[in-house]
Amino acid sequence: MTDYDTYQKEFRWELDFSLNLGDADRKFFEGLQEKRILGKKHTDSGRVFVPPQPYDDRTFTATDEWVEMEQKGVIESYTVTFRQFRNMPEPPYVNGAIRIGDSETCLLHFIGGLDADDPEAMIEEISSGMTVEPVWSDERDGDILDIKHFEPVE
Amino acid sequence: MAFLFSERGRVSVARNVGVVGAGYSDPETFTDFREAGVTRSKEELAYSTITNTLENADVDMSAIDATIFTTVDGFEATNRIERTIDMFGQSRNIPLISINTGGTGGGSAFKAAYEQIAAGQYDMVLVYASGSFDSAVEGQQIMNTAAPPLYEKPIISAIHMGALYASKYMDVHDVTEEDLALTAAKNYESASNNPWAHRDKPYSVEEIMNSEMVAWPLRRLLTCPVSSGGGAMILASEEKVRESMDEPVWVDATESITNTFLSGYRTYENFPRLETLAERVYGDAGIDNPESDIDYVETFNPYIAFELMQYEDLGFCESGEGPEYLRSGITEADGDVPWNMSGGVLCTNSGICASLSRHIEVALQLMGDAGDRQVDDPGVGLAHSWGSNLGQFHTLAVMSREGAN
Repeated sequence: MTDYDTYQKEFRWELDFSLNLGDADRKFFEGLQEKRILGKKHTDSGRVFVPPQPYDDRTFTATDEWVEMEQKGVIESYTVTFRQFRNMPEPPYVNGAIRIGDSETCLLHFIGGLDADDPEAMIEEISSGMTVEPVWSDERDGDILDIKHFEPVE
Repeated sequence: MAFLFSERGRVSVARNVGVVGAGYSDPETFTDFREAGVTRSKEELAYSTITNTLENADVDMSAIDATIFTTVDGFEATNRIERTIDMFGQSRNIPLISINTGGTGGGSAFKAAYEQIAAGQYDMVLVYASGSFDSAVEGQQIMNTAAPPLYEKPIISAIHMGALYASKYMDVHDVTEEDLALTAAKNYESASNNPWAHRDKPYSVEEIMNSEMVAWPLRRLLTCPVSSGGGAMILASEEKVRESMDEPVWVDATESITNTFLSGYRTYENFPRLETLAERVYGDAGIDNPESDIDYVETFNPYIAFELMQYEDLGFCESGEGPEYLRSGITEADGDVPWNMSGGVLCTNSGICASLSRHIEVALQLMGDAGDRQVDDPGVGLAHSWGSNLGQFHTLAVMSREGAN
């Protein structure tokens, strides 16, 4: 066997970013801090976006109204993860796409608060089309994870 | 000169473009280099790929007028993605552009080469697709950076991009795990004829269904490996094509389509944009009925449910009938329209090379150069690529052999 180390040189880049928030992002994240889910609406077409979009993608005209959304969503799709991935929670966990109210767009988020603790049972417990509601984190700092996860509505 | 009349009412004057060569780095490089102890530097991989491709085309590097490089930021161990630039004969002062559209890098680079030649700017263009997975210590680190950072990065990683589609497909159409395993088994069987396949052994449906679950419903053997290996193609103007080929392979049409960066717009119910793109490309290529007009197909199928969804979205069967279409045998080696006889991305996921591999495989099939995976005399082929954040892009290309059909 050849020594694997002689075939490679390891190094790393360290990159730090600070992303500017636009009006839409800032207001949405401030809303999360106050346990509110805000959507951005395009009044003419009536289309609402959560996460908020600065413009309506169909007409390329600006969204112009903020609306507070009811704290309920529907699971568009979901998956249960069995294996550990870097920068992701310890498995098993459920994540999926959640449509808040009549939003044109979905939020990706975790789905928790399940009866099941083994992953096979989680697959059975969750399905697309299921209604969920947010569970808020006690410590919120204006971040998507201010919502701890969504959980099925009893 | 070709006058193209498309269904969108577009009328364009373009030069004919053909494929004169296609190839890969040496077969032993198509592996998991970390386990195999077979490594090549980026430069060596590019050199062997391009040498093999020039040989397939029977042309010399001096015939190349322009070059196109494709990979994804981060995967070249530098954010200047054109790091293998030296291999492209740059000392001859020919132009190079970079294409960086994630998993569709190969399809987009192929399209860019087509456009440069069709527009009359160059006569012979080399496209190189990097075996991009051979330097990141963990691919997830890089692929995670493909997601919108504030909204989606903390929630998903690459495996979920496949799992959300597969889960929804099963929910909506009552597709079973066995349907997915059968599709995978067909690909593994095919890969056993492909010297450039990374996973090159057949697996039974039972073995596939017993493999470790990664993210529901994707088990390890329903999901691609991480492979090394590079790929290249040479496209040329009609004049140059006729100098080197008796039976030219033409590019009849190539197009791409874009979705939003924010994945929130997706419903995960099949690939509606692929359906739209297929209509456009079929219109441009004069394809009325894909099953009877197309003889060979290669698609981007890293998460195997995608292949079933693609049967539907590319118009080979109705929505929800993918599993039935698979069972009909039409897409097998001896079927009417063999699909993914290379084993597809499921068996060899050499990063951005894997997206150009779809086009390479179609070209090799049409040239009759596909070795043991060669199907019987295909005249028209379809190549597809998919990629970027949760399927932000698709590309399609139709190629045909002159005189066929």
